[in-house]
Amino acid sequence: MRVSNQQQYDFFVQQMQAAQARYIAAQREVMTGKKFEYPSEDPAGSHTVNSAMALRARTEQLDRNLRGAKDYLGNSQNAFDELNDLVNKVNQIAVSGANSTYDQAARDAMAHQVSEIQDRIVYLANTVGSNGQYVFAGQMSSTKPFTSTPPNLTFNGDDNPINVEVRPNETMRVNLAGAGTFFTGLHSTLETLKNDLLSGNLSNVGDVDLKAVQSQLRDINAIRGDIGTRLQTVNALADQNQRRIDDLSLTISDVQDVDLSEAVTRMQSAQTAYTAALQVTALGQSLSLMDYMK
Amino acid sequence: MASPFGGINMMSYALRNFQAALQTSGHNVANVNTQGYSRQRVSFSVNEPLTMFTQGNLTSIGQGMHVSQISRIRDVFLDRNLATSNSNLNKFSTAAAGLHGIEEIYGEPGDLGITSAIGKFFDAWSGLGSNPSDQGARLQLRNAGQVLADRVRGAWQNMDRSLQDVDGQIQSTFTQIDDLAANIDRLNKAIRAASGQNANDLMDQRDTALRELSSLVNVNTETFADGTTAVYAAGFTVVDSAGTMPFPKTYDAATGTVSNGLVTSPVRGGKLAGLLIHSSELSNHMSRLDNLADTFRTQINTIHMTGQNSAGTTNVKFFNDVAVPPQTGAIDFDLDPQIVADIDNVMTGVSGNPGDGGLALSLAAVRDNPFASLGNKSFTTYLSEGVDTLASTIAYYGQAEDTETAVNQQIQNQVQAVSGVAIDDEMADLVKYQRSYQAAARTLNVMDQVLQDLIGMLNR
Repeated sequence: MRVSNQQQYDFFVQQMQAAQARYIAAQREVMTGKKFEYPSEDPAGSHTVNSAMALRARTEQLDRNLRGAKDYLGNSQNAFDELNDLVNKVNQIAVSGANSTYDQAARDAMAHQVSEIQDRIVYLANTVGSNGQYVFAGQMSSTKPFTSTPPNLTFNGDDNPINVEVRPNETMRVNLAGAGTFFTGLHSTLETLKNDLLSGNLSNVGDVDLKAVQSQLRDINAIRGDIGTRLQTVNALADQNQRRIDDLSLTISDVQDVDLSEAVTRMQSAQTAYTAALQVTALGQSLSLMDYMK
Repeated sequence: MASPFGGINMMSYALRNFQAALQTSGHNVANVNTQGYSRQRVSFSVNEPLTMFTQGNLTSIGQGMHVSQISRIRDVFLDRNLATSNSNLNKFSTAAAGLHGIEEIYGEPGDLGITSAIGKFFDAWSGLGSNPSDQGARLQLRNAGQVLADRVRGAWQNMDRSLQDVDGQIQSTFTQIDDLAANIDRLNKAIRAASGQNANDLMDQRDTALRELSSLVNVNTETFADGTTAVYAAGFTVVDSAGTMPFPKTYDAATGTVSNGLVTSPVRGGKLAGLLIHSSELSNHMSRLDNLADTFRTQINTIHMTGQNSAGTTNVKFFNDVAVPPQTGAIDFDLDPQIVADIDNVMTGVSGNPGDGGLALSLAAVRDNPFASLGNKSFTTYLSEGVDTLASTIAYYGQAEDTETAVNQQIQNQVQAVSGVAIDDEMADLVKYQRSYQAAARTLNVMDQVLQDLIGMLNR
């Protein structure tokens, strides 16, 4: 084959440029740590990365939602744990109050104790969550739900649900259903007990009142169980989400990230090739028939 | 009988012809770096011999040689291949680079893209719906809405700027085509005027101009007996033996055609074809963004307007949408002024209760809904469909460019192998012609001495 000077020159330039382009591409991989920068470099991979990133962001949001759910449920749980202690104490008071060995002065003291417990219950019924929202107010979350106007407790909230998106397009109710009825009912049970203690109606204290208090205790335990179950679900979902997020991160990394040691090796070999191209060019250009002519 | 001066004459011609050959080698060496130059070669032919009777026999005596022609070494077949390859290569590389620009505007994949903004927008609704009393979630939602609107609008504006830029490039390509056609016409006329003469260098220049033209637009040529060439660009005659005709200046990017009002013809190659592809893709993606923005406006606003905040305000739009001036498409996609003015105008429920997050949760669920205006796809799917298709198209043009580059280099190598100047060759030729010249001079000298001897004999 005939080789002209321009052809030789073009060939050297092409080879040098190609070697340089490969070298720079290898450098870019090492420096960015990414196999591709633009979708066109790997359309399928980029699609995977994009949908995995969207799903990861969504899961992270669900995870944040779960934190909100935990706030509601955790505050409810604390309130009901304390409520349980308080109503247990009321139960003891009712048992003792029905005992005829106590005199009226002792029963008056007991009635006073019940009254204090009532105040405490109103305080718990007005429990506030981390955003300043009233946990037992339904959707009227910025209104103080319970106001005490002796002898009654008034409910100012509603019974609408606070729903949290815990799974994609799936919600969970995190506030207590029927909170208004429950707290006003409990308050009035205690009100009756208090009045019977004050009036010395021992038969009512030992029978109807005690039964009513014990029924309230059972309700409280049922509610505690329900809240506990939902908290467990929320915790399980949070764990699941975390695993999901980790999996998705791994997928993204698998598709997008370079194996650094491999990339560095590739860069070194590209560098060697580039150096070789430069040297060959320098050598090839130095040969000429003119050197041998006089 | 030959004249005594015949030999001297013959050798003086030989000297002149070898000098012409040396001159041609020198011309080749001088043009070793000239783009489009084809090396030239001197062809020698034997002169008609002198025939005479000598001692009863018919004898021919050689009369030396003459330069029959100085030709350029050129393969017309390779030229045609190179023109086609140039057209393809420039179409592919212009399209690939242009579409890559659109891809850069999208900024996918990653946190800076529209996909991520859409995801965060709906995530924020989910967060707010799940925790309606959280002012932080409310702020985050408005921020996510603003980012979404900004990105869609920003991408549209960037594409609009690119579209104007591409139009400018198309217009300047039209001008370049006309300029090159004028140049070819000028060379055509010069070649015709020099017919029969040595027009090698003019033909090289015309070939270079044709090659440049073929990188702008797909070109056909036809060469006539008088040495002129007619040029057809994208099916339109731009140069013929009579002169030039202007290339049409009306184009339709969507169909990839140019039209002179009577005839519409597709542009199949060259930078112009690549620019038309770029322009049409830009329009396509801008209308996709318009669709996206309009669907967001309609779908989000319809639900949002049913909401009521704790102050009792209702009928609030989330994205701006007023009748006068009509707001359509991505160009003015933004939040509604009421939302910008007060974050409490972000609706979370229909009851007006501060803890009602039902509406926000239904807005979060819009994420996965398919919409007829988006070809029965969800927002994210519609967007990623556009980006994915674009990516595949770029990958296709990128690969086509790589392949065509290899083909082009191969043809150029062949062209250079045939037509390129090799200094070593020329040096060898120089030595050859130098020695020939020396030999001819020596012969002349001998003949002169013979003649001198003859004259000296006569003097005695």
